[in-house]
Formats: sequence, structure tokens, C-alpha cells
Amino acid sequence: MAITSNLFINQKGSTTALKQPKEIGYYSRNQNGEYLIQQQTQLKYYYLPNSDLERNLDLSSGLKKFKNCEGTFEDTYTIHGLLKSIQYNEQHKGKRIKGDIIATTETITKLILGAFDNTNINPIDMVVVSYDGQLFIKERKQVTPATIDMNKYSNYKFKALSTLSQSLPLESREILEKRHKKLCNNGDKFVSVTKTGVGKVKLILSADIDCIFDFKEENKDNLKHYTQLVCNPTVNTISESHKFENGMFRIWLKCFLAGIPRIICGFKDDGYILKTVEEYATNEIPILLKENNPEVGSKCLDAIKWYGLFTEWLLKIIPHGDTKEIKPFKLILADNHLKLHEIEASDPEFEHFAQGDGVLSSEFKEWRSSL
Amino acid sequence: MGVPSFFRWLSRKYPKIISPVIEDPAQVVDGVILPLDYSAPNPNGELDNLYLDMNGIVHPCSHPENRPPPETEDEMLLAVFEYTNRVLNMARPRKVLVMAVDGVAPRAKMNQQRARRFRSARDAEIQNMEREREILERESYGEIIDDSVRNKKTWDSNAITPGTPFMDKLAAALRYWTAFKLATDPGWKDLQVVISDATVPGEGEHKIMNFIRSQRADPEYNPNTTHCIYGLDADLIFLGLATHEPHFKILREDVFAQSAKPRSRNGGNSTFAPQTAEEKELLSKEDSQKPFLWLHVSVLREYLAAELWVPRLPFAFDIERAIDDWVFMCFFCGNDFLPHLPSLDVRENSIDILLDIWKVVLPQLKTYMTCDGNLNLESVEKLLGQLGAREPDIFKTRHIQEVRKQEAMQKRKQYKNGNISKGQDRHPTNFTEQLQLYDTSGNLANGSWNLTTHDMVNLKKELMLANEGNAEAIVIVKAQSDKNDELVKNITEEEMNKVVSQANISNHSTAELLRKKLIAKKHSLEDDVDEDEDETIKNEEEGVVTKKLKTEQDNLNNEIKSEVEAEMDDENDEDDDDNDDTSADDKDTATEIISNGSVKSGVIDTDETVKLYEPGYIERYYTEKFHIDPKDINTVRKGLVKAYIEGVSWVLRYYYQGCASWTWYYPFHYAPFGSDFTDIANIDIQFELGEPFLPFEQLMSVLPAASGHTLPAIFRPLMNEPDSPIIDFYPKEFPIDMNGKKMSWQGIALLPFIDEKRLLENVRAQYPKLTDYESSRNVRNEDILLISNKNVNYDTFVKKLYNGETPAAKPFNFGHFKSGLSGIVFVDQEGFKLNSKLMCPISEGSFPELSTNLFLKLSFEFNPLIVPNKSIILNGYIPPVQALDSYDLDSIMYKYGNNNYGRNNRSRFNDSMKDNIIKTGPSGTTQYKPRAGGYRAFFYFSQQQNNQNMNQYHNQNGNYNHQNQGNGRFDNENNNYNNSNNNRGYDNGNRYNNNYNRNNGNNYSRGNNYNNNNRGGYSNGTGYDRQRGRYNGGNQNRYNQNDRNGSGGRRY
Repeated sequence: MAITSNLFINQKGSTTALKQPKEIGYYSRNQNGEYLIQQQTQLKYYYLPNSDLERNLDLSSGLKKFKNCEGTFEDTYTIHGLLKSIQYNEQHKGKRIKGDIIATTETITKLILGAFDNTNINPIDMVVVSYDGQLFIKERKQVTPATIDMNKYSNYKFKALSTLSQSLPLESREILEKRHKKLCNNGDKFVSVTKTGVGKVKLILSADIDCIFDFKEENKDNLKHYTQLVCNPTVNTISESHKFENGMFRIWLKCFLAGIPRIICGFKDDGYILKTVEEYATNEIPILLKENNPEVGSKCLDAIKWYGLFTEWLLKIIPHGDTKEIKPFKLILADNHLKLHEIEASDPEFEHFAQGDGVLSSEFKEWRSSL
Repeated sequence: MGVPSFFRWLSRKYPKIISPVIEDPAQVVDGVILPLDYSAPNPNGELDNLYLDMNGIVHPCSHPENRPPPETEDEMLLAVFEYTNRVLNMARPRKVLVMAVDGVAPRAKMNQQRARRFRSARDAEIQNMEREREILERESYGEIIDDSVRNKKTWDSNAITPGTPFMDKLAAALRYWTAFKLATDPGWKDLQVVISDATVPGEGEHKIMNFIRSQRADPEYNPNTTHCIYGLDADLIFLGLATHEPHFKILREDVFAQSAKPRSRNGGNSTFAPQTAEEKELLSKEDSQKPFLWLHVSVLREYLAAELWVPRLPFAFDIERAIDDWVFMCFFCGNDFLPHLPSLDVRENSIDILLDIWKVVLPQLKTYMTCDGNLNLESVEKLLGQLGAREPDIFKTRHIQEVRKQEAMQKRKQYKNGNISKGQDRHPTNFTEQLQLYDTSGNLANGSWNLTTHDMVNLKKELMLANEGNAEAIVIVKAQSDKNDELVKNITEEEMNKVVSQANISNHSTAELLRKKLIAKKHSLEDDVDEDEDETIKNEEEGVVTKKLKTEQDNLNNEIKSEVEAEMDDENDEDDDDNDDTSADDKDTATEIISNGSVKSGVIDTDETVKLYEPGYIERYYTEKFHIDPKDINTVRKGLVKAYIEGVSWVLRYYYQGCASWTWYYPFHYAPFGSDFTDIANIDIQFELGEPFLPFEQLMSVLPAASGHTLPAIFRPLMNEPDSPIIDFYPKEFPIDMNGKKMSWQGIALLPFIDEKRLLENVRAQYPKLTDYESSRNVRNEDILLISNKNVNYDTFVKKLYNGETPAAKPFNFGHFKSGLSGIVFVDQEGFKLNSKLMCPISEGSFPELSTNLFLKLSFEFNPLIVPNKSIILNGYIPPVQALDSYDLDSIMYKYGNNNYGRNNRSRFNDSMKDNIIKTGPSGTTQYKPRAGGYRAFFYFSQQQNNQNMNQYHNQNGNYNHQNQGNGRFDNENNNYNNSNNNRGYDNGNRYNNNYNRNNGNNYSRGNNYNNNNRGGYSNGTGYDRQRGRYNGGNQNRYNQNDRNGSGGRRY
């Protein structure tokens, strides 16, 4: 009998006890899609002085030269990088990592947003796999468009203009002055893997890190140095401020989950000129939202409650014994419910998710078998 | 650099940079003065780093200006301790203290040091001779002079040079005193003290610059570090700007303060009126109460942001680069390494002149003139070209002003002497025949003297005497008058000027040549004219018009014209030839050509013969000052220009990157003219780093023979004996050229330049004969670091370096974040051991023995720089509260008439300065200014609109950055550079917050007693915002309903 269950999104959870995220590893991905575990080659450092904002930086320049690497990757939502990092960690510790749910921050953010957003804006179509006592969640592969639009591009451009590949004292002036010529791509990524939790549930999350704000400490938890960069349209009217607040809610969710304490937000006008930049602390956002827009502000608390609720639900419903047997499940959002449905052996997708590397990489499975 | 003059000029131009230092009055309990509580909050605002240029303390303590000097060297050191203590209590740095003593300087500076020491030795000798004379005089009256007074010799302040026994004592004293404070003053527990004494090469201020650069090279460096440097030099202002550390201020004594009591005229230097103990105490108390002031480089930056704004630039405006250009131009007007150009003088608002030129030239350039300490020679050429064009005017104006000043002084004297009528007209009661008398048709009246204004100035004395009937004087004046008559007769003035100015524009030697030709022509003409006159008379008698005279003149003019053209062609050819030569030889050929002239001693003023205000000054300048033939002028000039450009590059590099060459120096006593800097873009500038001299080598390079007693005995014959191979380096007599200046210390000592090879050879040959103690002073050492045993790094350092019997410990690097200091430490090379004792090296002051367990001494090395220091603001910089309001900034932009250099400003200035309180340090939590389009800014601006609408100027919520009203959410207890305090935030989920907070250990403001930043109340009500496009929409009405102002307001 296939296990199915539904969870009503408006159900109010009660747990809000949160664990502080701790970094347990990191890796870089380059434009070729290669994963470099425990290497910070793609880590960037923030540098955008106030005086640069007087220069009318153009966030639209270079669109044509944008390298759409993700378009060439097989599966943009793969969690293989995360698994490699976990494997590395386990190899050094000699035992399996303690975590109930393993996923990317984006995935969990989407699940949380499921309770708030229209399913058209935020479709949830995921696969949950139970293996070796843990749940692995992954979004389904989707076709990525070949070209990206100006909005998305300006985000990449903003990041390129405000970061350096080395810490500021180590960079020469020429590089600083040539930043606006840097070509953008969506292949380079630096990812941090963190251990966090809500209620009784322990999660291992991977998060894309945009840059380090100040400096990196070797062999230590660097979460407090990471910064999220985001670029939004300028806010000149109340309705724009509402839009901004909704956007900030999403960003806040991601940073909050991953443990990123700082958000730097650039504002671009209709001509994609960078007009101003503002700095935010992750934990001031709920307060700010509540002050200016109580409706949105209350979402924050609700979000956490929901977060606790559905993670608990997942663990309750899906059996996760210490077995190497892989059990895949379908997880979608429909009719205001999160619907979980087991993928049975008869299902054509079963092969892909259970035996193949649709979710788990063979390398990872081998490693776990050897433990 | 002329210290008080530049400082005064700057503070008049930008008044709000000065603010008074607030000193806590000492608490007196039961008649005992309690020591100041260092840990208490500083009424001047909190400070991280303090840098002391120790020479600025040692000099005034050892030979004070206005009171008798301490009797013994130990007393001097005690005075140094007291003074340093006072400075520290005013500044109260919390993290780092750097005490830098001048070490061996680069060669470029040594020449200036040498000149100063030779001068001061000469002055001391003169003073001693005066004293001798006075003693004899008084004794001849029968006065009995006490033996102690008779034998007293003024202490030789030349002992304050690296390598002397006094500097050795000073080093030991500083180490002891620092250890003493670290061990005993609880306010010092976190302070890290770096001592760079005279055995570490480099000038004090530049060692400090190196330090700051090394800190900036650490990625962990806090960009909001607040700095303060104590010193008397105006150079420090430039150093502060050149660091591009925006939270920077300078501490110095208040030169504007006038002491209430008139000082006795014999205050300091007379040995014949020894002061009573009472008088001494009074004076020292007065000194200790002398007020200090802050010079805020942060406010100066605000002024310069307005001053240096140039519209319509073809490249992006960058205030940091513009500031570098400004600093460069200030150097040009005066620095310690090069003589300044004749047309520039820091006293005469030359900086304003250069600035005006810069603003005109900049839009024609591709980028700024300087970049991280490197010069763009093309741009410099443009700048100097413009200056050159203005030079003749500058000289003339200067001269006229000088003349007027003299006349005014004369008038005042006359007034005093009663030669002026007392009535309203004030006409002279003695009439003089100085004025020329013309008749109504403009012709000079017969019999009156034909004198130009110039003549009248020159012959003033003679004229006065002539009026009184002095026969000789009359002859002199008449001769001049006659001469002028002749000239006027033969060549019309207009044509003369034209020709000569033409010559001046093209080539100067032409003018000289021409002059000679003209004079020759004149003589021949005279003969001709006489003939012609006879002829004309004859012709007139025959009725023929005096055409002949005219044609002679025409011929002459034509001849002159053709000559000029010919010369120009010749010169152009010559120039081409010159360019083919390698310029490397220019400097050397120039040095070979010039000679020292015949004057061997005494004070002269070559400017009198050069006469800069008269055309043709350029040849006269070169021939008179360098004693060369006019034909060599070009070569000499080229050499000078090359060396000068090298010099300017060297100085710029010195300030921004460090010493480029320890051995380079400018080998001439004078500078070229601005107009001489042509074709400089291709000059290849290379520096060889070389090595600094050792202390004794420097002493031998800068000291005169009279100060030989500070050197080991073995060297003295080299300075004194006639058969010494280097005796020519130590002339007993030397000329001083006033060079047009009035103050005696501004004169140039024309000493021979030392040949480094010869000197080093001879000096080093004596080394084997030194005693051990002497050799120990002739070394190059490292800096040291002293910390208390309560410092956060103490345990780590002890564990890594001082543990175990074998101190084979490796040096290791420590980062800035933990303690506010970063660098490399290794085991102390001077023998520091734990569990031991440190004695006080001076006998005065009754200082106790210290246990070495209370502090730690280490050898310290600065971080190396991977990439040259960049002139940028570092990431995370939070600006302070803006000190200037719109009126101040507009007055700079539009030059309101507040550039008043007059003296009457002084008292008004003093009063307004006293009220000027500047709040230093980062204000708020974000790097970014509020601008239209941002989310926070949206509410901030709309609220400001509301404020204006409702006329609520007292509303404290206006401050964008003022995030911590009320519940102190964003107090700067940072978990990294400058992010918020995570104390509150989530009311729920406490567990989250608690865990988070406990990990907040690594904060920039650990143990946060020191409210560095914006704690309540510093609301910037005016919020002057020059940003254009500020949100000013008509939408504000909509927000009144959302107006939450009343209820505690917004917090941003």
C-alpha cells in the first residue's frame, strides 16, 4: 500500500524552537559543473564603497555575453554536490552525519512558501527519498530556458560589480577598476553546508553563498561572515514598498534557514541603473516588516511554525529506518495541501529515483554502504 | 615645512577642522592630586589607536622654548614621561599605542638635517661668544659671576640623533615606562604598545605610516578604526590624508592660545637671571596647563570633498584620488626633501594658486595626476606649464607687496619721528625731491631726475641722502638718471619691451645676448647720433628733415628683429641636439658645472642680484646662484629638472608606499622654475632601494664638528684633523643664502654635499676600534611590542614563544580582529625573560622595580604588503556624523569671502573654535548614505517631509543611521565588522537568540565599555544631504495617515 498523506497548509503548528545553524562544510562549483569540495575557489568578497554609487552603474551591460552554464547542466536541481560534501564530512568523522532531512535551502524555502503563495507562482513538485534513516528532498528536474531575462541578469551583474575574488587588501587597483567589464555566468557558485534544526527535526542544508562581507576565518565556522546579495527595483511608492516587503520575506527565509546574518540589497531603477544600496541584518527583517507592514510581518512567525509543522509531518509519515532500501515519494502542492505520495515500484519513475541517481548519487550510496 | 604658518593658513581656510581638547580636571582629595582614571569614558570621544612622534615630545622637553631646560638628562627623561602621560590621558587610546622615535633617515632627509644641525651649532657658538662677551663686560663692572653660571654650557640638542648615548637612554626609559604603565594602570590592560626606537631606521612619522599601511593589509582590519597622531609637524596633516583612514585626527598644542600672563622676557635663555623656585614652578604649571587641540582630518576631508569637486570631468570623480592630488600639490609648495620652487611658498597661498590651476587642467587629462603614489608626468607638465606662465606675475606681485610693506614701515617710522603732519592730511613735512616732474605735454621737466620706480626703490637711501645734500649720493642718483636719459633717447620703450618680451617667450639667453647687443648698439648709436645731430642741425639749417635719425632707428629695429629670429633658429637646433643626449647624464653634468662661488661664510642674499621681479630673471638666477656661464644654463637647468622630478616622485612614493631609495638625494641647493619643466613626460625614473646608514654613519653625515662629543672618540679626528680624508665635509665656516627670505632660519646653508662612498669607507674603517658598548649602539634593530598580562593574546603568545627552555619558537602571525592589532611576533631579542625583574634606568622619579610577569615583551614585525597600498576607503567604512552644514560647504564651493588671512581674525577665530565640538567615530551601522529608491530611505525621506511639514525640528528620529534609539537594537556590538547587535530581535525563539549571542564573542567592541559609536542623543537633526534626487515627492500627504511619528517614531 502506497503511503500517502496530506497536510493542510493553514494548519497552525506550535513548535518554534529553533537551532542555531552551524557550518559543517563548503564546496565550490565551477562553470563546468565540477564540484570542488572544501575549496573556496568561488568564494567572493564584498566590496562596494558608497562612492561607487554616484557613478550610475549600469546593471544591464554585458547581457549578451552572459554564460548560461546551467543551461548546459543536466539537472539544475541536483543535490549531488551536497552529497559529496556530506560524504567528505563523514569520511573525516568516520560516521554517518546526524541529520533527519537533507536538502537545499531553496527546496525548504519553497516548501515554506507553499503555505503563503499561490501554487502558480510557486509550484512545488518534489521528490523525497528515504534512505539510510534520512530523508533527502529534491526538486524535480525542469527545463531551464536558454536565455535569461534582464531582471535575472541584473542580479548577476550586481553581484559581479560588488564582489572581488580575493579579499580587498590582496587585489590590485586594476582589477577594482575593471569590474564592470567582468563577464557573468551562472555556473560559479560557492555553497555552504550547515546543520540546523527546528523542534525535534535536524536538517542538513546547503546554501548558495554570494560573498563574504569582511574576512574568512580558516578552519572555523564562517556563517557570521557570509552575506546575501539581492537586487530589487527601487521603492518610490507604497505599492512598491509592499512588493519589496514580499520579496524580502523570501530572502529572509533563505538567510534565516542557512544562518546568513547579513543581507545587502541593491536597488535598480527602470533603466537598470543601480541607484542605491542598503544593508540589513537578517534578524531585523521581521521587526522591520512588522513595523511597516504588519500583515507581512506576521508571516514570519507563521512561516516558522509551518516549517516546524511540515518537517515534523514528513518525518512522521515517511518511514526512515536504518535501511539501505531507497523509498521515493512524490511531494506536491495542490488544493492548499501538501500532498505526499509514495512512488511505487510499478511507477516508471521508480527506477530513476530509487536505483538510479535521480536523487542520490551512486558514489554516495556506495560510500554509505561501506560505512 | 613652515609649521605654524601652514597650520594657521589651513585652519583659517577650513575653520571647523579645529576643536578644543577637553581635559578632565584632576581630582584633588585631601590635598592629593589623584591620578586620572584612564578607564573612564573619554570626554573627547573614544579612540582606538594613538601614534606618538616621540621627537615632538623629546625636543620640547629637553630644550624648551620659554623656560630653562632640565639640568640633567635624567630630568629630561622624566619630563618626557610626564608629557607623554598627559598626552595619553587626553587621547586615551584603547587598542594600540605606537611610540616612534626618529631612526636613521633616508639620505634625502639627511641633507636637511645636516643643514639644520650645522646652523644650530653655529648659532650656539655665536650665542656662547655673546655670553663670553657679556660675562667679561659684567665682570668689568665688578659683578661677580658664579662659577656654575660661567661654566654652564647649553645642552647640545644635536644629541637627539640616532646613535648617541642619549638616544640609548631614551630607548631604555621608554621601555621601562611603558612596562610600568602596563603593569600598574588598569586602564592600560588592553593596550598594545609598539615601540620603534632610534635603532629602527626611518623617520618617526614614516614608521607610523608603514605601521598603518601594514594594518590595512590585513583582511581582518577594522575599517572604522579611529586614529590619532600626536605631533607638531604640518606634514602629519598630509600623512593623515594619505592613509585614507577617514577616522583620523591630529593632537597638538594650541598655537593660537595666548597665555594670560605676559612672560618675562628673560624667560628661558638667560643664564644671568636664574629663576627662583617659585618662578620655575609657575612656568611649569603654566606649561602643563597649556591647552591642546584636535585637528580633525575627517572634517578636512569633508571640506576637500567640496573644494576639490570639478564638474564635467571625462573620468569618474573619485574623492580619494583628488585628495592625493591635493596632497601632492601641497608637497610641491614645501617639503623637507627638496627646496621649493621660487614661485611657490607655503606662506603665500601658493596652494590656492596650484589648486586653481589643477581645476583648470584636470578636465583636459585622462585621469588624476597621481595614482597610489605614482606620478603621471604628462599631467605634472601641464600643471607646471601653467604655473610657469604665471611666474613673472607672481614675482612682480611679491615684490610690489614687499615694497609696500617697506614703505608702510617707513611711514610708521616717520610718523613716530614726527616728519608727518598731525592733521588730517598727514602730508610729509619734509619735502623730498624724489618725485619726477612732468610738464603738461608729458615731457619730463628739465632738471628733474629721470628715475623709474625701480630706480627709486633701489636708490631710496641715496635719494634721501641726496635730499639732505650728501654730495656722493647726488652723484649716484644723477648717474642713474643720466643713464636712463640715454636709453630713452635712443630706443623707444615700446619697441624695447616688445623685443625683449619676444625673447623671453622663446629663449632667455637671447634676451641676455640682446641686451648686450643693445647696449653695444647704444654706444655706437651715441656716436652716430652725435654725428647725426650735427647733420640734422646742418640739415635743418638746410631745411632737410631729420629723417636720418629715424632711419637709423629703423635699421636698428630691423637688425634686432632679425637677430632675434636667427637666435631662435639657432636655439631650436640646439634643443634638438640636446634631446639626443641621454638624460641620465644631465644631473651629473649639471653638478659638475656648478660651483660654489667665492663667498665662504656669512649671510648673503643672492636674490638681491637676481631680482626676480625684473625680466631676464631666469638667466640671472642660474648664473648668480650656481656660478656658471650663461652658456651652461641649459645643461644645468635640465639636470635640475630631472633631479627635481625624481625628487617629487620620491617624496610621493615616500608618503604612499614607503621609502623608494635610502640613498637618493637632491644634489642642488636651489630649485628650478616652474617654466623650466618642459618635456618631462619621457623622463625615466628609477630608484635603487639601497640600505639605510647605520647610526654612526648617519651621525657622521649630519653632525658638525662641534657636536663631535656625541660620537665615539674614534671618529672625532675625522671631523677635526686637517689631514682627515673627509675634512671637507665639515667646514667650520659656510655661507648662508637668505634666498629672498626674511627669517634667519629660512636661509639656505650652502654646505657641500657628502660623497657617500668616501664617507662610508672612512667611517667603516674605524669600526674595529670601537668598544663593545659603542658597537652596540651602531645597530639596526626591530620594533618591539609590549602588552599587559591581561591582554587577550597574552596566553597564546606565552604558550607559543616563551614556553619551554629552548626558545626555538617560530615567529607567527596574529590577526587584527581579536585585539585591534595585527602583525608578526617572535621572541624578544633583548633578553626578556619571564619571572624576572625590570629596574628603572633613570635615577629620578623613584620608579619601582617591576615583575616581568605583569607584562610581556616581544619582537614585532609589521605585516608585509602583498599588493601596494591602494588609496581607497576600505570595505565596511561607516562615516561619522557630518560636521559641516550647508553653509560651510557652500562657502567653499562658491568661495564666500571667508578666506581672510588677516591677523585680526585671531580672536574671533579662537572663540568660535572653542565652541566647535566634533563627534568622531563611525555613526550608525551602514556604509551607505540614504538615497532615493531604497526601502529604508523611502520611509526616512517621507518622514523628513512630514517633519518639515509639521515644523518639528526637534524630532529626533531624523537620523537615518541612528539605529539604536530606545531598545538599542543596533548598538555596535558586532559579530563581524559592523553588523548589528543580536541581543534582541526575536522575542520568540529564545533558544535561537541565546545560542547566537553566546557566539558573539568575536566582536569588534569586546568588553564593550567604550561606547565608540553612536549611543543615543547624537541625532543629526540637520541631516544635510547634498545628494541630488532626494525623495521629495508630493506623496507625503498619503503618509500622514500612516504617520507613526508620534508614537516613538521610526528607527532606522
